[in-house]
Amino acid sequence: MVRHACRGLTRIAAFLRSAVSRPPVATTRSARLTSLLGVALGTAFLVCFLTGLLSHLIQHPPAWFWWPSRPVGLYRLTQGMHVATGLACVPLLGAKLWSVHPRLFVWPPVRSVVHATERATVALLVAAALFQVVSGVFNVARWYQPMPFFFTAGHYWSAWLAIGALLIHLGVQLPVIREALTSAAPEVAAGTALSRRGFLGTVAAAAGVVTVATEVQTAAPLAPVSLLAPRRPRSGPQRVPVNRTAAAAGITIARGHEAYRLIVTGPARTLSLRLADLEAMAQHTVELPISCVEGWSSTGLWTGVRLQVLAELTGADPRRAEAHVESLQAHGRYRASMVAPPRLRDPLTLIAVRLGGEPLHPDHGWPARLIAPNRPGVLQTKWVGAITIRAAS
Amino acid sequence: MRAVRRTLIGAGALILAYAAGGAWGDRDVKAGVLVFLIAVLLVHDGVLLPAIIAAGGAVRRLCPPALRAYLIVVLLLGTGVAFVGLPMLVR
Repeated sequence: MVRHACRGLTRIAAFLRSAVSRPPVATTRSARLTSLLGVALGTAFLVCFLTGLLSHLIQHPPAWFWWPSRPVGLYRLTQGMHVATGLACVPLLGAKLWSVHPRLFVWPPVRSVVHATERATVALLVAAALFQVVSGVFNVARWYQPMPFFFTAGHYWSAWLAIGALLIHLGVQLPVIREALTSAAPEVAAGTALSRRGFLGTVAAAAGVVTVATEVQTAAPLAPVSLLAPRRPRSGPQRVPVNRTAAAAGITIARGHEAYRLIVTGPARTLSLRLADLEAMAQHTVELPISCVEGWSSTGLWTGVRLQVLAELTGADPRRAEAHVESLQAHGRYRASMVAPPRLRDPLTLIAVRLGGEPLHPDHGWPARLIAPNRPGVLQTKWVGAITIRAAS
Repeated sequence: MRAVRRTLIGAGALILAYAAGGAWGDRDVKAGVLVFLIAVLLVHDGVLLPAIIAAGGAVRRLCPPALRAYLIVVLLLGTGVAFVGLPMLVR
């Protein structure tokens, strides 16, 4: 019995060994292929890192950071690029790791302290790159159970780990990369199932397919081909998708409830507004997108009161004021958001009470919500109950 | 080239230190991040990579040479789409 099991294991090992040494695209694997894949992966990763860092800064702005309110769809573009380049990294990373995998089995595994350090940084790079791609895909799918941590924080610090390990890897491998990319391409041996060009073309096609199938979710006319899109642009109540519903946020105000008051506190006075008071003020209609950090976006026609007007009514100077907008939600990381001066004084920034001409659906933030140009959806606070206007620091 | 390499390695080491220090001091980062970091590496090297190598070996043994290239193209595209699509189906 044991002998049979051993023989079986030996056979499996022999099969895997032969597969490693003679894979179906064996002759295409070379330092040149790895370098070409590395350039493509590195470029996609860098764009993904920079757009991700930008999104982080917009959500957690340090004192030196400034983000304009126009163009309206700039964040939609940068976050779209973040998710698109991240998805393109899936096949690129897979192909890159495959192209170097025999090095995983080198013997002896460690030759010196320097070699051990280099292998450790490569392991860190691979782990951090896989962490980014896997957690990013899970986030696009909104599948949080397999991740035993708060996604945003883990994704952010792991991105820095990946970039640090990537720079070290580049520094170590630079002579090899230079040699591989400047010397003539090695000849492809006869009998190869798939040429280097064929392999690279297939990887590029895979990157294109997963990106297009997921990312065109943001472009309504292309939605029918967006097979993997978790959020279609016209799905959800009032034809705009919803991430957090009123029920999930614990909002239980009944429609027509008279108890609702929007409290606006400013330097000179405090306003207490019923929904009817808001609706009686000058109404403006704007076309603005909800641009989600997960990559989807959807444009709506929002109607409401300009935040700038509310700031003026409380005696603030809207040119130098910022607003702290709070939801009726009792808990939640995104229950409040800051509106910096460029966005507060933008006439497109509204406390909206209608979407598409109808009162807001509860899941879109009824009785009133914030809608402002060029910012992530998580900062478009719903179910607004209080606004504090103060001089910008 | 030596100066470029030293700069890259030095900058990389500084960024690694920033990442480790930042993660350590972030209240939202718990041991789960480290667990996930190790888990994705183990699953890739221990499960995914052997499966892909075995699939390559199976293609070489079982598929007629004339069809191999087409089959590899289909497998590569299918793996990429499955990786992105499965979490949306199973969540």
